[in-house]
Amino acid sequence: MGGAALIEIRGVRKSFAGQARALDGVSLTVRENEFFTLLGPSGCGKTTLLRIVAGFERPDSGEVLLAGKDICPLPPNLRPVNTVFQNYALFPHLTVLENVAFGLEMRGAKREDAKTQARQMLETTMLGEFGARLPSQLSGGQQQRVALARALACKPRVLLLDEPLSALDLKLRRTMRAELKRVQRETQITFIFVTHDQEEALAMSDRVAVMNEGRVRQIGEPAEIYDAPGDRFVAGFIGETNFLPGEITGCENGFLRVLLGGGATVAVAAGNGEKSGAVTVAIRPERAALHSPADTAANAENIVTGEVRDIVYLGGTTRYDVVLPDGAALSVSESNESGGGNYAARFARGEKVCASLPRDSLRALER
Amino acid sequence: MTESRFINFALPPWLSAGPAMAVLLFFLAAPLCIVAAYSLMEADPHGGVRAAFSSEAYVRFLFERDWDGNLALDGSYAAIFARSFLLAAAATALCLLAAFPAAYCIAGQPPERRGLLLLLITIPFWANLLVRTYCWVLILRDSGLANTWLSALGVIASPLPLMYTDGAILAGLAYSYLPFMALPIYAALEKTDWRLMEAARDLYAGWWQTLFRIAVPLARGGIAAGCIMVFIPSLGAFIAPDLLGGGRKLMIGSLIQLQFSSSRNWPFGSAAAFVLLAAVLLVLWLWLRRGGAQKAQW
Amino acid sequence: MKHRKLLAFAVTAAALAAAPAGAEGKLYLYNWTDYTAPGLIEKFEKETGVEVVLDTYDSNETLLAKLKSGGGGYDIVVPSHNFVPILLEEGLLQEIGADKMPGFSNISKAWRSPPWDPGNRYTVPWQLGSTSFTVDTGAYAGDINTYKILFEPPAELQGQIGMFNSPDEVISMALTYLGFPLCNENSAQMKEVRDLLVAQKPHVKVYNSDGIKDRLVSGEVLAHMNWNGYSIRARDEKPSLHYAYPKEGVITWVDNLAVPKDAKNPENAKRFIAFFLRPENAAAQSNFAGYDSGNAEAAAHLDADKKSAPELSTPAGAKLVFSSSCSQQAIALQDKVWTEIKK
Repeated sequence: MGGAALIEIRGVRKSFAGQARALDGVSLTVRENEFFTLLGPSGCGKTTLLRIVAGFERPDSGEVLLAGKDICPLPPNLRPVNTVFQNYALFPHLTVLENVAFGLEMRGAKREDAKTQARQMLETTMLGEFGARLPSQLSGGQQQRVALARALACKPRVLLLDEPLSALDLKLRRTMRAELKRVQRETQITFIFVTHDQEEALAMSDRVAVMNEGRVRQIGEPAEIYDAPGDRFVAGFIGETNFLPGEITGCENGFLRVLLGGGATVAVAAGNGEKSGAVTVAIRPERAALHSPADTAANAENIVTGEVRDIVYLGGTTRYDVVLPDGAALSVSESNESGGGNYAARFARGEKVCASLPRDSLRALER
Repeated sequence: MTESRFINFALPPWLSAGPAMAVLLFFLAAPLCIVAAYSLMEADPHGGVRAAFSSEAYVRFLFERDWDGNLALDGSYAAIFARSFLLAAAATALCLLAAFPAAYCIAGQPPERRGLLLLLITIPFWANLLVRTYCWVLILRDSGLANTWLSALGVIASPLPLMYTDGAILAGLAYSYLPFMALPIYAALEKTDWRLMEAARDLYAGWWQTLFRIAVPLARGGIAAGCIMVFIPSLGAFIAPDLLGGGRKLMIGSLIQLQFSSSRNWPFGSAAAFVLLAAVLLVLWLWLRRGGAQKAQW
Repeated sequence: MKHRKLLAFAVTAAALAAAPAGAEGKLYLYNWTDYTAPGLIEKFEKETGVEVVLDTYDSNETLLAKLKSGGGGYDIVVPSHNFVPILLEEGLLQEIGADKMPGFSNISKAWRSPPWDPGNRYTVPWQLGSTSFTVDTGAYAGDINTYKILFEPPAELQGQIGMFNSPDEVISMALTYLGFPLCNENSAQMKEVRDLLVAQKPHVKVYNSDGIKDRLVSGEVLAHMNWNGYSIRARDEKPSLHYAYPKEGVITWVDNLAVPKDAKNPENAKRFIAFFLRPENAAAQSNFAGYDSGNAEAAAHLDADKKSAPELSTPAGAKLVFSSSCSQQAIALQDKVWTEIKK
C-alpha cells in the first residue's frame, strides 16, 4: 500500500475532567487512499481520537496534520473531513434529499445545484426513490446508507466512520461491510474507521491500529496483527489465543528455546518479541494440532501432552479444550472435513493426547 | 382476555373521563357561559347587568355613538386591540431573542450544571408580578439605577428618558415572562440529540447556520409553546403598561378592567373579553395549522 | 369514604362562610383597606365586650356588588358619599336615625344633613377629604391654587405632571376647571373636556393612582393629582410639596358609616357609631388615617402635626364641589372621553 501520508497524528494527549487520560501520546500515520481502522475495546480512546480529527475535541497537546498542515486550530466546518456517526445523526426535520444536500449547500453551492448533486448521489447509492422521505420513515440499513451518502456527497479528503455498523443486525452488517469496502475502492477516499469488532477490522482494513487505554498497541496489516501480535493485549483482543507460561532457556538458529510450565521445551520463532526471562507463549487454536500419543515421532521437538477436558462442536470446526500437566489450558481447533452427517470426534473426553505446536506459529510475549 | 379487560376497565371511557370533564365544565365552560351571557345583556347603571337582550356591547367595538348620538364607524377599540397585539408580539419576540440563546447554552452544559442554571432562570418567578414590574421602575426612572450608573460612568450628562416609553413596557413584559419562554425551549433542546449539532458542524455549517438550520427547527415545538405562553399573558397585561408605560395608552387589559369598575359597563367588558378570547383562538388556530402539518411527520 | 370526607369538608366550609349570620356579641365591619385605626377597634372591644371582625374592600363597586348579592352579613359599611344614594335606591341600607344619637352634635355644622342623606337618617361621616393636586413649589413659584397649572401647565411644569388613572376623578376635575357641572350629560361640554385633556396629555408624564408620594418625593413629577391626606405624607419627606386648594372649586368626598339592611347586629352597629361620635375616638381615627372626621370637637385630641397641617384645613370660603353618582349617559360620555385621550 505505500501511499503518501495524508494524516499524521503526533503525540496527541487528551484528558477529560474527572476521568483517566483518554489519549496518552498517540502517534500514527494514515496514508492516502487507505482504509485505516482504529480497533479497541470501549473506552480505549479510539472515538476520542476520531473526534479530534473531526474537530469536535481539541487535543491537550500534540498535533494533527492533514496533508502536512496542522488542522487542530480549525473548527469542524473548515476541515475537509466528514463523519458517519454511530447512530447516523440524520437531521430528523429534513428529507433524505435535504440531508444529503446539506453539506453541499453549507459549502456554498446554490440550493438547486446542491439538490441536483444530492440526487445523483442518492441514485448511485440506490436510494433514489427515498429522496422525499424523512429519515424516520427509513429502515436502519437505509438510514445507514443515507448517512454515508450525506458524508460522501461533499467529497471529503478523509471520511471518518464511528462504529457505523454497530446498530445493524448481523446479516445487514456483513452486506454493509462489503458495500463500504466497495465504496472506498471506487471513491478512492481515505477512510478512518472506528470499531470494537475485530472481525470487521480484519475483513475491511488495509491497516489496523489496535488501541488500549489511550495508547496505540500495534499498527499493521490485518494478517500481521493476527499472526504476529506485538503483545499479549493484541494477541488476546484479536481472535482466540492460548497463553502458555514459560521461561526462555536459550536461543539457536533464530529460534528461542522455551521451557513450558509442564516441563516440555519448545522452539519459538524469535520475531521481535522477548529475548530472555519469563514469557508467555501464544498460539492460535487453529495452528496447533492434536495427535494420539502413539504417533508423535513426526514432530518430536514441539510436543506437549495433556488430557481432553471438553469437546465443543462448532459446525465448521471442533474445539478441544486440553489441560496441560501444569494446569494451563490449551484450546485446539480442528476443521471438520467429514461431511454427510457422519461426524465423530477424533478424541474422547478424558483421553490423553499430544499437541504439536508448529514453531513458526508460536510467539513469545511479555508475561 | 376479554374478561381481564373488564376487570381492568370497569368504567366505560365516558365515565372515567368524568372528573376531568367536571373540572373543565365547572372552571372553564361555566364561567365562559356567564361571560357570554353578560355580554348580550343590558348594563345596569349601578354596575352589573339587567336581564334584557342587547347586542349593543358588540356593536360598540366598531361603531360608536358619536357625540350627537348617531352610530358612526369608530376605530378606537380596534386601535386598542391592534396596539395590544403588537405589544404582545414584540414582547414575545424579545423574549424569544433572549430566551433561545440562554436555553441553548444551558442545554449544552454538562447535566450537573443545568439544574442550577435553570433555577437561576426561574428566580424572577418567585416574586410577585407587581414587585417584579416595580423593580423596573427603580431601574429605569430618571433617578434610577440605569441613569445613575450611566452618568457615574460619564456616558450621559442628563438622565435619559427611559421610563414611560414603549421600550420600558417591553422590558417589563419580557422580563416577567422570560421563564415561560426559556423553559419549554430548554425542554425541547434538551431532548434533541446534541450530535445533530456536531453533524451540522461536520457538514460545513457555521455556528449561525447550525443554530438556524438545525437547532431552531428542532426546538420548534418548544418555541411555539413558549410563544403562546408569553403572548397570551402579555396581551392581557395591564400592570406593565400602567406602571412602566405611565398609563398613557389603553391596553385591552385596562379597558376590560375599567368596564367592570368605574365605567360600570359589564356587558361591554364581557364582550371585550370574549372578542379577545376569539382573537387569541384565531391566531393560535392559524399558527398551529401552519406548523402542525410539518410537525406531524416526525 | 373519600366522598364522605369531601362532603364533611364542604359542610364545614359552608358553615364557616355563613358564620357572620346569627353570631352574638359581634360586630362585622366592612371597610376600605388600611382605613381602620387598630387602637379604635381595641378600645371599642374593651368598652363593650363586642368582638369586632374586620373585612376590607378597595372600591365602592366591590361594596355595591357584595351588598347586592346579599353576601357578607356585615353590620357596618363605609360607602363614599356618591354611593350612598345608589345604596339607598337599591334599598340596601337601614335607617339608624343618626341625628338622634348622643354625640351627633359634635359633628361640624358644615357636615350635618348632607345632600346625599338629608337629616342624617342613614349615615354619619367617617373620614372626609379632598381631591386636588400637590405641587413642588421649589420648581414652580407662582400661585398654585388654580387648576390652570395642572391642565394648561406653565413651562416649568410641562411634561412633569402626574394624573390619576381613573376616568371619573380626572374628568370631574376637568369639569370643575371649566366651570361645568359634574356628571355631565351635555355632549358639547364633554367635548370641551376632551379637548382640554387631549391638549394636556403631552404635558402629562404618567397616569397612575398608586405610588404618588414616591414620584413626588423623588422629583419624577413636579405636580401630581393627589388626596389631601396623602399630600401630608409627601410633605413630611419633602417640605417644598404643597397641596393646592383651587379657586375653581375643591372636589370633596366623604366616606360614611352606614348599616346594611340585612345587618345581624344592628344594635352593636349603632353602639359603634355612637362610640365613634365621641371626639377622642374620631381623633384617633384621624391620627391614623390622616383625614378629617368632620367632628368639630375632635381637633383638641389631634396630634400636633395634624392640628397644624394645611392639608387638613380647607381655607374658609373655599368653594366645595361634591361629586355625585352619575347617570348611565354621563358615564358613557366619560368613557368616551377617556378612550379618546388614551387611544
